[in-house]
Amino acid sequence: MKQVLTKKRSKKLWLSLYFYQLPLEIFTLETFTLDKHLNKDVDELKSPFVVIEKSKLLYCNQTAQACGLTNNMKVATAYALCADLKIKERNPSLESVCLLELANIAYEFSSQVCLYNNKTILLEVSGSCRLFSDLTNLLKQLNNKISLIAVSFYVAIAETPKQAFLLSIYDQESLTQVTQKAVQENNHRLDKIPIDFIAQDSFTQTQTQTHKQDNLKKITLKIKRMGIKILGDLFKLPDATLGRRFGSQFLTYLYRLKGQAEDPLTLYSIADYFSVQRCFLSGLDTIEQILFPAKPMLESLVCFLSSRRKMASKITWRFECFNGEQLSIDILLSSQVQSTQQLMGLTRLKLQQIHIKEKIEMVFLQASNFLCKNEKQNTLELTSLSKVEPNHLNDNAKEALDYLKDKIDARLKKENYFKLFIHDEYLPEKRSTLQFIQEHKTNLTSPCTQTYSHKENNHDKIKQQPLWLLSKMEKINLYSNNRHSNNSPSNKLPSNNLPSNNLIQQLNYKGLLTIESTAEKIENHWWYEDHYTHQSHKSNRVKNTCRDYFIAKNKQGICYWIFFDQYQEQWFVHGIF
Amino acid sequence: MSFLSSVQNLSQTNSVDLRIDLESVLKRSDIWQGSQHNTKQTAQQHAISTGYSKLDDILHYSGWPLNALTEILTTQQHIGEIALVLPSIAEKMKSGGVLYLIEPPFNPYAPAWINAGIDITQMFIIKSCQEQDWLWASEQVMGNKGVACCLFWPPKDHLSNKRLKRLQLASKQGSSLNFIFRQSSVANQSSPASLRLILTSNVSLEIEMEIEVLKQPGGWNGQRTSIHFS
Repeated sequence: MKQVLTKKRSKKLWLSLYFYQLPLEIFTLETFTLDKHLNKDVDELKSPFVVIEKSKLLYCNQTAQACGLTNNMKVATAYALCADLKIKERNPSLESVCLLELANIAYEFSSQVCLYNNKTILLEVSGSCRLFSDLTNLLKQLNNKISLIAVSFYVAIAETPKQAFLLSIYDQESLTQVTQKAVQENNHRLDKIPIDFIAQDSFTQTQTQTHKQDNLKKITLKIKRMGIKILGDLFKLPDATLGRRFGSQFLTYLYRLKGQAEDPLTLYSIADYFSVQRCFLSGLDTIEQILFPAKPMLESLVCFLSSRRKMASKITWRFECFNGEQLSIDILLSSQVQSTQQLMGLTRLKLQQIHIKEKIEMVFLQASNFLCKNEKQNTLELTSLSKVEPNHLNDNAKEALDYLKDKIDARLKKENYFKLFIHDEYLPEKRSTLQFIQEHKTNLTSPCTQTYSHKENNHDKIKQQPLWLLSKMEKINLYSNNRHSNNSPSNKLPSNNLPSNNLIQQLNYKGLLTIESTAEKIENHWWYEDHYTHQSHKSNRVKNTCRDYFIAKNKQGICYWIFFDQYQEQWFVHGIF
Repeated sequence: MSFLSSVQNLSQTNSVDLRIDLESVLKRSDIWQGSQHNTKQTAQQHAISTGYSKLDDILHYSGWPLNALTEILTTQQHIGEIALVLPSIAEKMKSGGVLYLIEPPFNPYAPAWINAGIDITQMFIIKSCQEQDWLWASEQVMGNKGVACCLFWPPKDHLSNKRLKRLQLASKQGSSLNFIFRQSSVANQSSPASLRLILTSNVSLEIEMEIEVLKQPGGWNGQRTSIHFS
């Protein structure tokens, strides 16, 4: 007998998360979080609050409902019923940011996540159930994650995305109530759903929200006029009749609902930036108050990064005050392990530097320019400016060091933290410079300054060099009884004609100086035949230099690096050994 | 558990247990044995050679103590105190880690540090900070395991005992060579630093630097030596 092997197609399981109060809760969700932390009642939870759209009430909180306010009520009527009502205009951009944040959480549990509409996220969990051992465990962990953001939502699980969506808005079940058994009873439950609920769905995900809903609303009304109240009755009608009466698009919708046709959903793809925001109706005016919401926001960022195996090179906190003023702080990161605790520590350090004048209404956290975790941090790590392999430190020590650098960056001002650089210049003050570290970290695209770290260096012809260089060269006084004081070496001094020893003995810089070495000359333009007269050439942009360097010691034993400037005819102290 | 209670416990147990307990007591970082202070093993564990044999000879650990604060007091700045510590810093940095200069008196001149064997790409400078910031930074740096060396010049000569204690405790957390440079006028003040040296320049006797040990781990103090820099 010939055996025919057919591969059985595994059934898909779609989990629908319906955030029914999202337009309202984006303004109050942090209040819930604060309430949890402080373990006390917060005024905003008690005070009546509504979200309006086109001067009509769209969402009311429980206190507002208790005052008699209902949806679609006019704002004037609402104020008449409740004088201390707090009102906010609906903010779709804030909603979408919050929904993206929730999608990021969902993405930790499934790679197939879909932003179904502006209040619903769908995720395919058949594979994830195996990964998390069973559905109960998966839902438990998902619940724990979403509860951190404190948004209310209904859940349903079904074999098609549209079934899952309709069941989630109809059954109004929480995550803990959903079980695998429920899937088997779905057809029975689906039959009971009133026709009105279809109006909240759409033909396809890609259509614009208003257009697709209007179409389905019209069809729903027509069906209701036919005397059909529930989906079960609709399913009993022949497909040909439904197609003729309501169009092929509606028929396709029903096929997709019943799982008889594929539902082409656009899956959520990983964003190349991270953004979360929180709104505070009563405002924040202390750093400690900001740190409360900062923690869950950073937790979201850490989840976002860990699910992508990425690391952020910079995070930005932005604060918007009630009067419209904005405040922004950047935190540069070089650490590979970016935990919530570390990021909180850095945020705290950075926040301590700001002064909050006005109450803050909105807090934003943004991050972009992500790097792969195991990628060599060429752009970030300053040590990479060197060609020398810098460290033999173990991972823990490296991590501790990176975190230390980040902490110092966060705490100190730009002008307090430097790195030493050496350049291919002949003048000591240009050869060795201190540069701000933060500038190098932010200026990722700029070419690196050339550095030399090898001992053997042709440029360092002067063997004895000071450890310290004065930021500004200081003039050396000559004793007044010096008969040569006004008779300095002439400009046309031959190279071997240095100032007389008699003169040197009378140098005075914090005491008498005694020359301890022979001269080392630094001179430019020596290659011109008439380089002494070349200085007068106006077109010459580079200032002529001719310095004779000496090591001089005072009576206390301090060694100075001094030089005689042939052009200025003046002695200077330049460094200290 | 205090040392006394450890000893009391020891006397109450049998000889086998005695040996085991004694070993555990001797492993404590705050207990040292006078008879072992100068062995090679101890020196390697607790210190790194200064690079000057004469100085190593007078230090019980034969070098600068690691995970500890070393206080260098000078009658005047720039008499060679940096030259004294540079060889050991260069050696320590070879095994990894970075060098932090906190509130240095002037800007370091890169060619000289390179010639001394310091990798300047691993060198960071913190300067011109507020008092709270340099105190915070020094504590953070000294307590970090990724730091090889820290050189700290407190802009305020008077540092409270509490502050120095915090630095010493932070040093124990890290694994670096930590030096704090102060004026010799504070020599009479008590200090929790593990090693305290006072440096004097003596030009008239053609001796570059005289060194006196005010305090050191592993034994008595009062040793003197002189070093001539070439």
